[in-house]
Amino acid sequence: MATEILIPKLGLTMTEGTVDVWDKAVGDQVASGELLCTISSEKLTYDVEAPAAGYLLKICVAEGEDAPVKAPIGFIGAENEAIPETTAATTEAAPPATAAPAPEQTIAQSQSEAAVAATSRILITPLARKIAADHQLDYAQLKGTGGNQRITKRDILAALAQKDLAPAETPAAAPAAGLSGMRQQIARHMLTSLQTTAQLTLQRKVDLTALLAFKADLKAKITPPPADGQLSLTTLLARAVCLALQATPEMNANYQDGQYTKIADVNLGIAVGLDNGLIVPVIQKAQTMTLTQLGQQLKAKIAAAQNGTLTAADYHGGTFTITNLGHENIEYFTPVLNTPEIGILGVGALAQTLKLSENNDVVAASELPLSFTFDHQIIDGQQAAQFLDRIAVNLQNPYQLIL
Amino acid sequence: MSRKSNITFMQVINEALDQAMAKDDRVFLMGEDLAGGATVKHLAEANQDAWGGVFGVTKGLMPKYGRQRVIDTPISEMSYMGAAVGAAVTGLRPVPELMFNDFIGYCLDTILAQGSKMRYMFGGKASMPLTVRTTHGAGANAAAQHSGSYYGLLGAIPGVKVVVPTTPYDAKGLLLAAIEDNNIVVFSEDKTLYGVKGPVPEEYYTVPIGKAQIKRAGTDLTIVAIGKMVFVAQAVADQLAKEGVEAEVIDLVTVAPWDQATVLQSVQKTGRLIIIDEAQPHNNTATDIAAVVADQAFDYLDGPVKRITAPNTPVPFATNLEQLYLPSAQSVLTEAQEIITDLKPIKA
Amino acid sequence: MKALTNETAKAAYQKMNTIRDFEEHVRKIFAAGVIPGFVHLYAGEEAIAVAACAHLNQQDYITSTHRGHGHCIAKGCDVNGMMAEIYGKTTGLCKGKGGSMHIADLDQGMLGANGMVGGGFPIAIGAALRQQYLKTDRVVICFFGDGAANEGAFHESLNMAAIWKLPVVFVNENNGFGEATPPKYASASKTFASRAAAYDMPGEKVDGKDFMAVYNAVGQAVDRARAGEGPSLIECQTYRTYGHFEGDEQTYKFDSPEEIAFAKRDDIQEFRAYALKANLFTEAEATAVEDQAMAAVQAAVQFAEDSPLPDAQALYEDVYAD
Repeated sequence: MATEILIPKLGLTMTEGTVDVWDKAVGDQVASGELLCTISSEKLTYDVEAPAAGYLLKICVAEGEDAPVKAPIGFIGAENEAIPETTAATTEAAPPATAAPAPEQTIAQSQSEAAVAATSRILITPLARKIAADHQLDYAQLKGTGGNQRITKRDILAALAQKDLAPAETPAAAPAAGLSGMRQQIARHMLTSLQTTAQLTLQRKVDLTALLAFKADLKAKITPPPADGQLSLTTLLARAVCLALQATPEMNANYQDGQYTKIADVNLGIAVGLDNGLIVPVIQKAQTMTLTQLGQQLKAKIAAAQNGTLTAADYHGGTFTITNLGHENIEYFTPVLNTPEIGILGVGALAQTLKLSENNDVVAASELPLSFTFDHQIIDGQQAAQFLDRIAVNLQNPYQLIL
Repeated sequence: MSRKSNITFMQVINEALDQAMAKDDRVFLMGEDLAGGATVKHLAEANQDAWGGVFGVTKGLMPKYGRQRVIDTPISEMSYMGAAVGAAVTGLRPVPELMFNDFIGYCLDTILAQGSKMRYMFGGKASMPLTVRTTHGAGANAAAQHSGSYYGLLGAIPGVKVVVPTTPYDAKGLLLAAIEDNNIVVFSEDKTLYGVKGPVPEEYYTVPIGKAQIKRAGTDLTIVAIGKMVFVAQAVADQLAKEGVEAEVIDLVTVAPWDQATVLQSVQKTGRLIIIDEAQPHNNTATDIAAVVADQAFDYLDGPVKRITAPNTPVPFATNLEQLYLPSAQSVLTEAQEIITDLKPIKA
Repeated sequence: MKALTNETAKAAYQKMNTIRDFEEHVRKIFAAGVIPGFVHLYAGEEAIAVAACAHLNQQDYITSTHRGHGHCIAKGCDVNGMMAEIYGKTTGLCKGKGGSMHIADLDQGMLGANGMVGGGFPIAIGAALRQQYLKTDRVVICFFGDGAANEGAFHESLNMAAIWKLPVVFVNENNGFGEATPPKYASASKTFASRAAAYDMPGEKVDGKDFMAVYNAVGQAVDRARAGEGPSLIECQTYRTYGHFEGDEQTYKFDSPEEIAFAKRDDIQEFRAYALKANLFTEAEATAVEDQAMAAVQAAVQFAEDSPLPDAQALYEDVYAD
């Protein structure tokens, strides 16, 4: 029988979600747990994984459409399997009102509970149930050795031991408990990033003296004066990164589930700090933009992020991220990869320093500290250093930025 | 001061009564034929009692303390039990004996409606230093009207404490504690244990009422038992130990108010509970323990709570039937099989 | 026997009036729904409780019945505390936890009104046994009704009191009805007093509306008891002015002209007339006493009304002694 793909309830107040992107098309074969689609709600995005292995039989809610929590958005089943008549018909017609109510459940539980529902109820003692819950152990397939074949404490402990999971150990897979909303998503995302990549950070400074002079020169000469942020440091930096990424296509990529994919377009993420978290709007095809277009886009996306008016599409599909802590007077730090991206550039505070010129004169200079984190699984240290140097060269030779 | 030889349960009760009477003049005994032969001239002249109680438990106390403190009553359970209530509320410390707890119907009012409620309904101004000694228990072919176990019924009454001693040592300490207590304490003696011997100090001592006793420590299974069923529990535990299962045996000692903390702690440790009681199966101590454990220790339970009790019948006369009526080690192992069997292979 | 002096007569008259005023007030507020529960009124039977208790000291004991307000006042219970108890207030003699049927004051030797018919018999035996055990000269009066006389405990307790010569006086208040049934139906004995013969104790039936008759009979019995000569049974024929309980329609009453005539007799007015004639107190003194009684009851009502209800915590207190 086909398995429903449901919109999960991700927070207490969530009533509906938007399907942002389907990563699979009808007819695609999917593995259990494989990414199916991304949904969003308010400021949250959530990756919906396949609740079972099989083929994506049907998509009920197309990209950009909304559906209520726990409504089916698609079906997975055997190849060419028919979708139950009633379910398919009703969900197509009016998902919210008539969809068969699914039990309230988390994504993680849905698999075992679906299996349970198909058979009889599981006999398990209160103690065993509690230990299983504490360790997020799926006991649906366990064979009980207690009276009436009920699962007892010993059965659970044996299963945990088999999973090589000591009972006292805190499970690492669920960072979101007790958190809500955006925080849940960030927590999950950060932990996934650190647990699934080999992150390394390179740090150096870049002399911006020439860039600042160039900027001041341009500003003075353009009439009317630029109003779209096209000459802001952020825009110039973004442009420098775009150029570096184009010159280094192996950096402009995603790495996920063992799959490394170079991406043609530079979809540049800009981390925006909010009162209650952080969000990364993405500027699609940033490599194609002039400084003015880039400035306009940055301004708009940052404002939307701060106002909470970003749509799901606004923060999907990034290939590289820039994050800035310079306004907090931080020089160097270790940015965390915004997976599945493999690079992130951290920008520190611009500092006025004295340095020796080529002529051994002491001159004033403006230096920008940069911290570049990359996934060492994919990129070697030297490659990374060269990429960072390209950014530096772009910034030190500002005329390249307007070509 | 300790004595060399063990003494019987019955001798211990006698010794405790003797010491309580010696210690406090307000303590007196009252009941049917506690001495026997009242007004019989030749006995009076020889200062002798006739029976010393129907089981001989109070033998010798009348000659020692006189008929004013070992009072033989007419066969009038309501009036002498009620008189004990009246004497207690006016400051004496009576220890009436109800020969068999099966006779409680004659005098229940004095405990149920009078003695147990006076303190409460008089706004805390009364105290009720009253110890009701009685006997219970099947196993003596005494048949339906002389073999019942009604401590649970009495323990259901607010204001009443009920203790059921298992060993001679506890019998003495608990009886002295009961007589010191300012509440109605029903001290229920298993008449089939009267001949059991055990080490008992000669000196005056008390054993706390309301405190269960862990007779054997174990980690796999808790067995709570009352009175002589503690011996059954110990036999079960011995048997299980041979098979690698460590049972914890708890003597409940006090039926009301029973020691919830000790029982719950044990169940929280073991996750499994067997209750053995020779009283009837329903509306009773065992059902109460099971209910409290299911409520308070739900998340610790690793199997159903098993109650092994007498069947829901009167006590039969025929020896074979009476033996069948009482829980035994074998019946416990059989009836509680489903929470025992799976402990074995894993432990072994 | 204590002679009835001017002072004791006046005190007795005051108690009779206090009981009557107390009961009339309780009757009124019960009907008005001010007080909860069951109420059994003693009005019309005052002569018995007051005359009997006139022979007792504070340390002597009484056991009472469900119709116990009169016994309480006669034995010296605090009227404020009684009224507050009936109102269910925390200042009640039993902290509001006993109510009308369980008013008790052990300090005054009042071992409790009793909701169980016949419940007082064995308790009186116990209290009397105490006196004998401790060799005091205190006595116990066991008040009981014509209904209780047919409980098994009557036999057991009179028998035990007699065999042990306990210092107890059994005062039967035959008020004509056990609930809704007259004793001529419920009892095979022509009189309850005659049953005393079975226990070889003195038995006497007196006019319960006649203060002096009760006073003299109980006086002799109390003397016997104090002297260690054993128990007595005094039957006092009286009449229950009101119903078994308040709200009782009393359709079973007034079966004969004799009954109607007997019901009309007022024990308080009869005692007043007797006392005036015997120069025990004057008309002016009587009026003053009547006023004092009424004032005491009114003060008690005020006290009860002003008193707080028990705290919720009181529900759980005093089940066991420490």
